[in-house]
Amino acid sequence: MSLAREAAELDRLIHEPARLAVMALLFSAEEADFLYLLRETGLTKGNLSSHLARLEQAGYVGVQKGFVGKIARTVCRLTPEGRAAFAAYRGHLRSLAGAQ
Amino acid sequence: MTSAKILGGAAQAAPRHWNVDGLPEIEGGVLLVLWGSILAWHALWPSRLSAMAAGVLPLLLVALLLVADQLLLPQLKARITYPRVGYAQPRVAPYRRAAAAGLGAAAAGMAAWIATEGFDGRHLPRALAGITAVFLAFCATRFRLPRFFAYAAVAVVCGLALPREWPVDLGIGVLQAAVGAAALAGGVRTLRRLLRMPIAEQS
Repeated sequence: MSLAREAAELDRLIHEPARLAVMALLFSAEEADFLYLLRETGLTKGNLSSHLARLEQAGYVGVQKGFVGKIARTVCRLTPEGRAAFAAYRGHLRSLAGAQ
Repeated sequence: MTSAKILGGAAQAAPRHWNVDGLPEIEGGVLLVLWGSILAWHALWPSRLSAMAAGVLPLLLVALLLVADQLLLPQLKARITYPRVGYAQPRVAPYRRAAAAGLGAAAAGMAAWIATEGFDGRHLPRALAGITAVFLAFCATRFRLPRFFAYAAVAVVCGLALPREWPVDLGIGVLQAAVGAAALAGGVRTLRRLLRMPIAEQS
C-alpha cells in the first residue's frame, strides 16, 4: 500500500492537532478534569469544549459534570472505544514513521 | 506541533501532574528523614530502645506510607491542588523494561564492584547513594521534573562525602536523612508556589 493511501487511513477525528492532544492526555490518565486539559493543551475554554463535544459525540470520550463543594467540575475519560481507537491511531502512525 | 511531539509530551503529562504540588515529595521526604534519623541514632547511641525503634520503624513506615497514600494525599490534593491546576488520575503504567534495565545495571555495577574491590559492607552506603541518584535522575528525565536532579546531586555528594570509617548504619542513616531533607525542602517550595496560584473556575 502506498504511503499516501496508508496516511489517508488515519482516524481524521483524532488526527486534528487539538483533539489529538486531548486524546493523548486522556490516554495517559484514568480520568482528568476540564481544568487540567485546559492547562495542558493551552486551548481556550470554548475551543476545548467544542473539541470535547465532538469526541463525546463520536463515543471516544465520556464526560461527567458534577460539583466538588460549590465548584463545578467536568471530568473526562476515554471510553473503551476511544482507548482502542487511539491505540490503533498510534500504531498506524508508528508504522507510517517506520516505513520512511 | 507534530503528532509525534504531542504523543511524546502527553504520555508523561499525568504522572508529572501527580508531582505538581510537591506533596508526594513532602510525604517521601518526611519518611526518609524519620528513617535516616532513627538509623543514625541507633548507630551513634545504641540502646535497647534505639534497636527496637530501628527494628519496628520500617514496618511502621510502610503502614504510614499506605495510610498517607490512600487517605491523606487524595484529600489534600482535592483541597489544594485540583482547584488550582486541575485533576488527573495517572494510569498505573507498567515500567517493566525500565525497571528491568535499572535492576540489571545495578546488579552489574555491584558485581563489577565486588569483583574489583572484594565484598566490603563499608561500601554499602556509597552503593546505595549511587543507586538512589540513578533512580532520582531517571525520574527527573522520565517525568520532566528537573528538581529531582537536585535530589540526585544530594545523594551523589552524600555518597562521596561519607567517611569510609563510619559504621554502615550511620552512613545509610545520614544518606537517607540528607536525601529526605532535600526532597522535603523541594516539596515545600513547590507547594508554596502552588498555594500562591488562585483557584480557577471550570467550565
